Amino acid sequence: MNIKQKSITFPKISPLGDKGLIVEFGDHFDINLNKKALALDFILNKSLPYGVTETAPTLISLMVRFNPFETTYEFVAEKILFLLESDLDISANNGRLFIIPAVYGEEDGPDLDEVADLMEMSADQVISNHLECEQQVMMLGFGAGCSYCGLLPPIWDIPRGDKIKPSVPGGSLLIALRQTVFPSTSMPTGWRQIGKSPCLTFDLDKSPNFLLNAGDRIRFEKVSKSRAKLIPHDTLWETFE
Amino acid sequence: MSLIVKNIFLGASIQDDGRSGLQRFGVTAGGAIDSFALEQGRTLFNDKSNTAAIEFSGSGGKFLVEQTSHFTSTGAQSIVKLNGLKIPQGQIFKATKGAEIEISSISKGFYSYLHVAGGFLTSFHLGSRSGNIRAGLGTILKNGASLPYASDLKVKIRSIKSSDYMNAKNIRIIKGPQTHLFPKKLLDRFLDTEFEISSVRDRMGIRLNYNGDNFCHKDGLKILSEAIELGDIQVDGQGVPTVLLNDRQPTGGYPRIATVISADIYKVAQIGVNSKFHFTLVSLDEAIKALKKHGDLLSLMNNEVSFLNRDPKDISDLLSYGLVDGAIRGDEYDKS
Repeated sequence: MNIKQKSITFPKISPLGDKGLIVEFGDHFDINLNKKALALDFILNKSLPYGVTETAPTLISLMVRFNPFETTYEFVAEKILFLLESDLDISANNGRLFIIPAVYGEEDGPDLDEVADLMEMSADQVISNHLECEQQVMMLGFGAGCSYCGLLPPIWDIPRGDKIKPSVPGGSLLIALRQTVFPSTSMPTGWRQIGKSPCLTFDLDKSPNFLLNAGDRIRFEKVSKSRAKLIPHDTLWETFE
Repeated sequence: MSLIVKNIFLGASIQDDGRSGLQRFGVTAGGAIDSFALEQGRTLFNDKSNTAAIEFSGSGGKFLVEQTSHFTSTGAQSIVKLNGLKIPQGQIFKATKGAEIEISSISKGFYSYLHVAGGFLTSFHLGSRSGNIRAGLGTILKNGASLPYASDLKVKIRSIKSSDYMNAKNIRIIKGPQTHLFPKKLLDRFLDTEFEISSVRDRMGIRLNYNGDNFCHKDGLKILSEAIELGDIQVDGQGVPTVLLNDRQPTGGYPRIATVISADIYKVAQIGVNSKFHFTLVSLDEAIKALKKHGDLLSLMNNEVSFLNRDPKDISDLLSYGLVDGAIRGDEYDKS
């Protein structure tokens, strides 16, 4: 398959199986590359090319799946190259802003003190810094409705933990690598938990089932444990109905 | 009314075509691992809608029939019994209220299916009944569970020619986004290697066994997490390859050496223990040709179906057919 590309290596388009392709924007993480992946995702979904069935952005790449009985790899790749030739407007997909209530520390954030030590701050400083940051949903992955949000300032560049916890609950605020991972179902993780929201963003009984989409923005709002108990898990849907 | 699960082993679930289009939300499509066997069941019942069947992995189960209906079994070779008497696979049989159906001894292949007329009507999550244990979606079979289905559907007793695609010796793969990260020598060795499926296998993926060195790439390379496709062969930090299947995670950070073509993915999943196979590298064009050929196979499947003419002595479910329905004494009209 020889799709003509300019002398630059990225963005790079390659087949992903025989029913899809992947557009890679680089080989290392950079928030601007994520914005490009999200911008391409946005523009493609405004009017999906014939035969294209779904797209899925990840940190610095975009998966595009198609029906090979209706279109071809070459055709879809050409179409994407054409879109990439015109400069992608990386502010096009600015998403919606969600304010998400969260309880920090103690049983809802068992690793808060450890994170504070790694960041050489007090726990209170960690919390207030996290609350100040507006983060973008960079991708969803790992599990149903699990968002990877960022980027947090460089001081948040702490590694994942050494141990894998067998299970953290949906709604956990998990920290590492300048990101907040915000799952909607319980899952195993090596990331450090600093808090927990009473709200989830995936619900089988709600429409849409998945509230957050890559490109949306979130900010956390600190609430007390007793207040959190009064917040139904599907509250965030009401904000947008 | 329902089929009651009397005895089941791990790994059995309800499966249909799965839920596509949700990978961007962190959900992979799932669906029957052996989509060909699922289609055989639908063809037998002449019902091409998205019906759901029970998928067994490696072992079978025992069931109680609460309401008379028609069933059939496809996929991996196994022993199917109705009230203790053997019934051939790929053949529709009638099971009356109170009957016991048993699937046992999966001997060739790994995934076996039990279909009911009209499909199982278990809960529908995100557009599919497919069980996904990790995501908590659909139905995973447990002892005592009841699996509802429609009753009183008119069904013709038919059978389908068996097509033996179990234990394939040759699985075709194509290059993917990270194939170039593996040195040519290593890829050549991968293609020369005789593989077996290890016991570490489930709906997420199958770890491969082989003799010789692992397939470690330079520096135990880890790439940034990106979308994973059905059939991707990921090579982990130890250099061990795993073929990723329907319930794989949506994203992953291990490099993938190649991807199994769509026309062969159900075949690699059906390879049983101790059966050896090779991977063959093909072009994307060849993969598409194979997929179209597979598509033809599915659309012509109906030609493989025939009505059943059996010797009554071989019909273990003979008494369930109501053979004397509509018989008359012969003197009904004499009085008039």
